Amino acid sequence: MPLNAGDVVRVAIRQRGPQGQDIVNVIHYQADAAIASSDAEIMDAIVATADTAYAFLNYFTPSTQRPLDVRADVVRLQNNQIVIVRPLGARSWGFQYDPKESGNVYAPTIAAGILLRTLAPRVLGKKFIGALMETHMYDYGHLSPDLMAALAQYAARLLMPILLQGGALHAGVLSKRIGQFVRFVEYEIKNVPFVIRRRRLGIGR
Amino acid sequence: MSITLLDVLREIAHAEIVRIVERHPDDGVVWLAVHFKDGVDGRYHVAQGVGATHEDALRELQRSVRRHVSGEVYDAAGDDLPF
Repeated sequence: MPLNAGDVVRVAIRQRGPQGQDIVNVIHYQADAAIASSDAEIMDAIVATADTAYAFLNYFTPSTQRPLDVRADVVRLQNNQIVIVRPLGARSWGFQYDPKESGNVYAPTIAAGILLRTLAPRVLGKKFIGALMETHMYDYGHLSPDLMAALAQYAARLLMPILLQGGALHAGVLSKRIGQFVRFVEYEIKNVPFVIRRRRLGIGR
Repeated sequence: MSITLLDVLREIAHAEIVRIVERHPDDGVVWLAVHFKDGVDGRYHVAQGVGATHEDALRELQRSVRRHVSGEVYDAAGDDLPF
């Protein structure tokens, strides 16, 4: 089924972490025009984007971390809540993304972070990239330049529009605060890791 | 020959990278900046590159990094721009 101009797609990229935890990154995309591609073609393109983006992190991610699936749904804001309009599909992934690093991993509460800015004030995205490994942390808890460069390539890939028949999908935030979708225009990577606040004690270890 | 951000960062392997920023505003210009602390003199630098494409911006960034590492930026202006 095609997408209409302005439709928002929620993409959940799921992995199984080295401690058995779920690692999920969610990215929202908006169609800039009516897209004639089928759901299967859209899923193929989304999975290819996720796969090539995460492949930049192959040598910074523990080999015990495995890609699980990519799920996508068409969503919209209704009464300031994000609701699913229809599912697009779920696919396995990890064709190019194949984590290879070995060594000690940090506790799952810390991760490399990417800040994604929009043109709307105080509307931004944060992506937590884990699991973080000791070999890629330098003195004073700073991320290594190699890891920062890989994160930059990862972020740049995610921000590239996903080209489809008739239009493209652009990454951004479906903001409840301003009640609309806004595109990412900037990424920022700092050498200080992010700390993840678990939503419920005991969940995610 | 195409270059990558990693190629540029390797030229400042002696430095501590503080942050990397890339901006794609709607007017089709790509802006790239690397904020780093020089490992030799301990000073902070902000190298920047602007271009019509990611590749152009990277090349401009590479030139900027070289100017900063050579001391040309500090020598000319006396101080670096705040980030």
